[in-house]
Amino acid sequence: MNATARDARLGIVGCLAVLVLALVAACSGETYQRYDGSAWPNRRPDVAWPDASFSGVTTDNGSDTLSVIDLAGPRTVGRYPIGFDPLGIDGPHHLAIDLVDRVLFTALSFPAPMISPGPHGTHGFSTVPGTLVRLSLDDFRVLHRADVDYSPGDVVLTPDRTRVIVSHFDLARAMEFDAGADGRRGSVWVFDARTLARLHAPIVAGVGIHGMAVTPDSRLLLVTANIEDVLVLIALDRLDEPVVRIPIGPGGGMARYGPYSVTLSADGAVAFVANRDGRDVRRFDVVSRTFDDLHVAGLRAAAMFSAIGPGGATLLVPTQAPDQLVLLRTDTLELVRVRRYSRDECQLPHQVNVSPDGRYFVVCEGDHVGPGAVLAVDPDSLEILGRTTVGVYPDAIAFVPRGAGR
Amino acid sequence: MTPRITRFRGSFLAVATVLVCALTCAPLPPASDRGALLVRDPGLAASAYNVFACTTCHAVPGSVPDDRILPGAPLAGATLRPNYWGGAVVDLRDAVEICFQTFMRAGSTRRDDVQWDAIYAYLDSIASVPGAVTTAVPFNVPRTVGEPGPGDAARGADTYRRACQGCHGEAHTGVGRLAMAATISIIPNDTEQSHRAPAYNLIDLRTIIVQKTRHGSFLGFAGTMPPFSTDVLAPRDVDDIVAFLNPELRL
Repeated sequence: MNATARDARLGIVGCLAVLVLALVAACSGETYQRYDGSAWPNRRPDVAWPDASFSGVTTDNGSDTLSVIDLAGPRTVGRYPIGFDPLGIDGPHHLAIDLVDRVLFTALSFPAPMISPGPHGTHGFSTVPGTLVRLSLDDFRVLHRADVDYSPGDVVLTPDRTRVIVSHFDLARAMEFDAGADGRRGSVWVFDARTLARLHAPIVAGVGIHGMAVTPDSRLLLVTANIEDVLVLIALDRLDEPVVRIPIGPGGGMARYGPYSVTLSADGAVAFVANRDGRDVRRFDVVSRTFDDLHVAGLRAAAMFSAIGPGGATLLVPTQAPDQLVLLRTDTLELVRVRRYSRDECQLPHQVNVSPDGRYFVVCEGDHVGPGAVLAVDPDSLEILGRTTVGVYPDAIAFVPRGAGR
Repeated sequence: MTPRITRFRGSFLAVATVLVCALTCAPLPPASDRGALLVRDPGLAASAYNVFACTTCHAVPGSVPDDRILPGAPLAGATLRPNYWGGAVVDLRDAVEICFQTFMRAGSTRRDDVQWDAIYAYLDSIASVPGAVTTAVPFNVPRTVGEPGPGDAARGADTYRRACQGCHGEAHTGVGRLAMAATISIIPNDTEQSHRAPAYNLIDLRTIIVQKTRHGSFLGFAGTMPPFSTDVLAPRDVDDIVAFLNPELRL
């Protein structure tokens, strides 16, 4: 073979190789380029946390927002929409914060739609299961979400930060009188605080369960059952064991007492149960698992979410009808002081909470149409030190130290 | 074989290869081109029951100009807007997911990342075209609505054609609607059929049309209809539509 013929043959082989490669490339299935930009970038604005030792954040369950508060005023510095339903109310209900992982937990309760009393309303009244969300403190973006049952009520994080727990204030279920005792009871759902993976089957707790508290050792959960009139005790380290139901008082069972919230002393030895229908506060010994029937604080008002006062000697209880803040002694539940609120000061106080640096704040629901409010109060005199408006129907405040957000 | 023929054959194959390469190795079209097709494709949602594409409710650049009244905000500029759904949503992907799940019946099945990237590429490519809206688009929807006013039937006929007919077809017959019964209703016939006396009265029936127009498939309502805000359909427009439809109460 001379050189020319060899070159030609090599040329043919080369061309065929190129041709095959080209055809292979053409048949590879890519008919469009891949997008080389950053698709769907997170453009959420960072939360504008105030440059203060502690900030506050409220769940505004009537406006689907979280309000961020500079506690120094107090002064609301931002409101951030959360939730998934752009028209309806998602109803973010209560919150818990993990400062180490820099996340906020809240439960979207999706209340029945408040549509006009027109005829189409009878088609709806959706009963939509709730959603637990785990939000970044940087920008309140959703990091994790988990389905929960209907009408989530309270959200707590165990002190060891391993579990987040949701109760269900399911009054529709509570009214199903043919369903038997357990059929009417709401359940407690326990989740892994990092992943929101559910750790156990729903724990049937009580009828109309609502407020919760966890002992400092993270081993015992206390839950109020608003309709069943019991305090439910659940061993968090033995979830398979039957729950314990302690009657609030004699003759209960159909919201005679209406236990709504429970507040623990710092050492977890004493719990204070606030009753909406019984309009009183009762003292519960966690160790002996008995109520102190000798000392009951009759308030003649619906008791809501309370907080232990400075040094543990007092209990601050917000009440509704009438709207006021009540100061009680924790040892005897004797009444120390009452501060009545005008409509302009605090309509429907819902919760008192104390910041880690010892300041006290009252969350006022408002009229559920316009803005609610947060008051800074003196825990001894109960005088109002400051006031700020937040979103619609706030129901809880939690605290974030400087640097916890981005 | 003579060297001359060999050289000729070699040259021919080389030229052919170059041509094939030129055809097959040409740069692939950009992802935004694919995205432009996807936003026009109801198949994006992978639901046999979905009849909506993004462009059913949203204007896009380059479409044939028409006078339709669309419930959704224009897509041009969407990637640069500070929020969506009247401020209720601040993340674009979240905003799109609402459409995808609520109107397009996509459920929560896993999304095709390549498709979604292409859609974003398209939105990105039209972010700054002339006329793009990069500010927040008003979206006001009253949560409660009442009985419609008297309205102007003649005006209502034109408003119905622009706002409703694209999906529901012609009033009373449904001719030209997007899909057959059970997916897209015939207005007002199907409404009359499912809201009869004595459970409902004529005021109820008229109010239902207003409620459905405003709330679509939200606030506890079924279906996949998008809501029309007062920013795109004024209260008087809806009154006119009801006057045009003139629903009759059936027994």
